[in-house]
Amino acid sequence: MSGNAFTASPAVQKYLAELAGKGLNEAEREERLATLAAFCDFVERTPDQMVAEIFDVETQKYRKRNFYSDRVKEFSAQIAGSWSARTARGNVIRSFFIANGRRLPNEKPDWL
Amino acid sequence: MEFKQVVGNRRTIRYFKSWQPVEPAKIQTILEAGRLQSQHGNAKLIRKAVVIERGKTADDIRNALIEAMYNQPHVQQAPVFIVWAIDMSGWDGLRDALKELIEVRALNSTHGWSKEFIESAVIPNADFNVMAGDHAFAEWLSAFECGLAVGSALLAAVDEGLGTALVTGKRAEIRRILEMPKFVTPTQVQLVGYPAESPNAGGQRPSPPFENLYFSGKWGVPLKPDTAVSAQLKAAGMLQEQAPARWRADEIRALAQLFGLPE
Repeated sequence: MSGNAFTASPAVQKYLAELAGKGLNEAEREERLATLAAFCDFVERTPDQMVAEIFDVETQKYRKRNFYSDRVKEFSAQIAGSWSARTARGNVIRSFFIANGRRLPNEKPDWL
Repeated sequence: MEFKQVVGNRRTIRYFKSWQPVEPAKIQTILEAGRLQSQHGNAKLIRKAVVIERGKTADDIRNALIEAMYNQPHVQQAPVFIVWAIDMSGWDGLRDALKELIEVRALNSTHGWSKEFIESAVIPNADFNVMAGDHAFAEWLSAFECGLAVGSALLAAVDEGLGTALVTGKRAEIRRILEMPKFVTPTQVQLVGYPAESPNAGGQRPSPPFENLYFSGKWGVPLKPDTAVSAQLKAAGMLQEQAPARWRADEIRALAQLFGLPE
């Protein structure tokens, strides 16, 4: 998927609209888009495909929530660093889904 | 804390210090505030609650409740849940509760009350003895009465320096987990704990203008607030700065990092 097509996809547009209200600078915004793009490569799906697949609009029930929850955990674990750093990576994907009206379970810190 | 300040300070708190337990005395105070609230016919057995405490209640019960409340972050964090419930069997005590009010001289002959009046006029009257009439109305009134108790309990939590919030969940699941009988309906779950966010949670929430809610004389005629009174209420802390505070986005970001939540 080309960079333009990626950014222009409705799901990414919704994510960008959400990011616009969070006071991020350009570098932070680009970093998040790059993380999202890397996740799309990881699961071999486009952003729109992920949004369409996770939830069944007909039945109003999650269809592949566990799949994406597990993939996000694997994706987070790919990088070295602290629990916070790894979780922040996964949370970019969770935020993307939230911007598109879908919610993945959050990671709970050990102390919670 | 002064009453007006308590009302003004109340927020739905969505970030709790999970590591700080709530003192038993404070929980009891919250429950007492609910118990003492007004109740139709003084039939107070219709509103009850189950208290769930982190580290005290069995983990499997607490975890199942968190799941039943959709795993929301503030549910995961809150050290105390008060599961408010309606017990429809509590209406069985209406007759005795009314007679007790006569005995303690709350209901008096000045207003036409007597034990015979209760038997011959009140108990058969579906407007008063709601179980004698439309069951849907009885359920509606029960929810209303339970809500009164919960409203007081929320304010009591604020008065105790705590954060609090109401959440809903999968009611059938909550009933099963807590082994509630069929005639008991779980309503809202009150979360209680020390707030991890600033207690004012970034300002008072949007609320429709006073005159859009209250009417004078008949429906639709706006009742205008007196600006001098509004100024007094601001001074007393009831009317406060509206959300969002200018620092709120930064606070949310910090809280998200603290709890490992998506921004």
